[in-house]
Amino acid sequence: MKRLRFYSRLYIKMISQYIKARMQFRSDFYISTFAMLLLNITGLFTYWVLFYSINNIEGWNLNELIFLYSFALLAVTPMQLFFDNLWVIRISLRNGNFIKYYFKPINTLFYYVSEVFDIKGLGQLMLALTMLIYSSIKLGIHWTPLNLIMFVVFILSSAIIMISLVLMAASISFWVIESVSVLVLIFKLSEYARYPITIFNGFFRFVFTGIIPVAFIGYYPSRFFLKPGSGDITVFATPFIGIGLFIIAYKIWRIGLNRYSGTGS
Amino acid sequence: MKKYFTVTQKVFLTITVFRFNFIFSIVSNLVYITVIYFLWSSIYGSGARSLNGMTFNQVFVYLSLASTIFSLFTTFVEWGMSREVIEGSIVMHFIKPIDLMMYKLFECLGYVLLKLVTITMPTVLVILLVFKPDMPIGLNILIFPVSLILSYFIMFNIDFLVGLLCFYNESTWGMSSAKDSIVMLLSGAVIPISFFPDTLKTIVNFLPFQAVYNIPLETLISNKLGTGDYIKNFLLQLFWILLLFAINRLFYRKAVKVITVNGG
Repeated sequence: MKRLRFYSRLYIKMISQYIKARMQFRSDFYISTFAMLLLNITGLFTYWVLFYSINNIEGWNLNELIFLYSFALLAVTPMQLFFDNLWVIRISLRNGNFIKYYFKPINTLFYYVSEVFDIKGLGQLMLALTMLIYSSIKLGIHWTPLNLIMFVVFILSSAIIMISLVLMAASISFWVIESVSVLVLIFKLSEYARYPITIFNGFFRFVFTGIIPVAFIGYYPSRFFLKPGSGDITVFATPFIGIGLFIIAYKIWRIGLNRYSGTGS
Repeated sequence: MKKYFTVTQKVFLTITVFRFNFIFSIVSNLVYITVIYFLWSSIYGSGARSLNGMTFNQVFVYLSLASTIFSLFTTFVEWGMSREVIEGSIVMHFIKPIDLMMYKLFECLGYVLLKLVTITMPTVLVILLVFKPDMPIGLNILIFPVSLILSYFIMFNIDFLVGLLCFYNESTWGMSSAKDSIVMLLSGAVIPISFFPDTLKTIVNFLPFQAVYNIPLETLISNKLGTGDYIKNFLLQLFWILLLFAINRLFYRKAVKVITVNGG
């Protein structure tokens, strides 16, 4: 408990310094937030245009797809906000700056990710929440207290799945410095979370459920709220997959850490 | 002897690293193409043979080629320009008797050619072999490459324009991502233009973006276009190149004046 207090105080201190520094570049904040919104609207735009020609995809109507889309978007937001520094790990590994993270008596992963708080991710958060509320009103979803608790549990679990996937991809940097393409691939794969998994054939369904579990970032939890009568209990695996995956990802990160020996500069 | 060995090793590493990234960008693109395949086959699966005048086969070829061309055309012009402004090395371009825009263009052409041979062609081959596209075979096959080259010049002009905008602010990520999204949305690269509602179709026709993706792809796939359409499209692409080029020229003269180089 004392450790937790220590870490949260440290985090707030580091992040507020970071935000102060970032706020010197006010125009960057506005432009990036705008770009972030545009980036996320791309997928919604596709649905919107598509539904001029059709009225459902695999039995999902436009509002249900918006719900699925924004659930997945909300689930990847914590990764965007708190773990954005993982994107540039290759740079600090290559120029040798990474060695500094070994010299503090705090958790290395914590130290590394708490250097950056991605402010533009707040735009994404707002967009995801707005679309979620909009679609759940349109769909008339009943938000009972139990449902709300499940929603929080699933969002957190999905967020941890996404964080773990990105952490694994970023850890590859310890072996092959130039890992940016692996990160891009993971991001592309996480976009699969925005589609009903039933559009895929059996092989991909298996991959996205059992191997790279992106279906748990959007599809299974959304179905729990949208099609409650389906009787499928797969969704309850979400928290366990989240925790399990994070343990594996953290192990890989630790192995990578022990492997890195600096650049000698 | 040992230090030479290290240098050799470093070069070796650079090559391996390079290859790793190359392989992954092919994989990334194929992954995206797979989702297009399944998404659209389930859209067409519900009985419709043809939507908005396009069959499933045509939509798939259109979108998978669009995605492949997108990764071919991504040359990070604006990233390079803004980095040079921040580092101050941009001044080196001003003291050399080489025009910055031409320098960037030729730099990119090399990059694009390299990618064309190593990434684009294998990907296109995979698409053609795995998936047999039913497209007309005739004049369109010959005109497509010409149209694609013109597309690249339009895209380069857009990239360079964004690069010049980066002289005014430090938000490279923001400018570049906003550009990518706008181009993707309004060019038909994520959903064919023939699916757009009518008002949007009209708006898009007055913008340069559809000339980048929609024109060459429609040229290749559609069997409704005649020689007249090819000439019209060719002129339209040429018009956008000239217009954007003129804007870049005028804007370049203004933008150069705002650069502040800190020391260096």
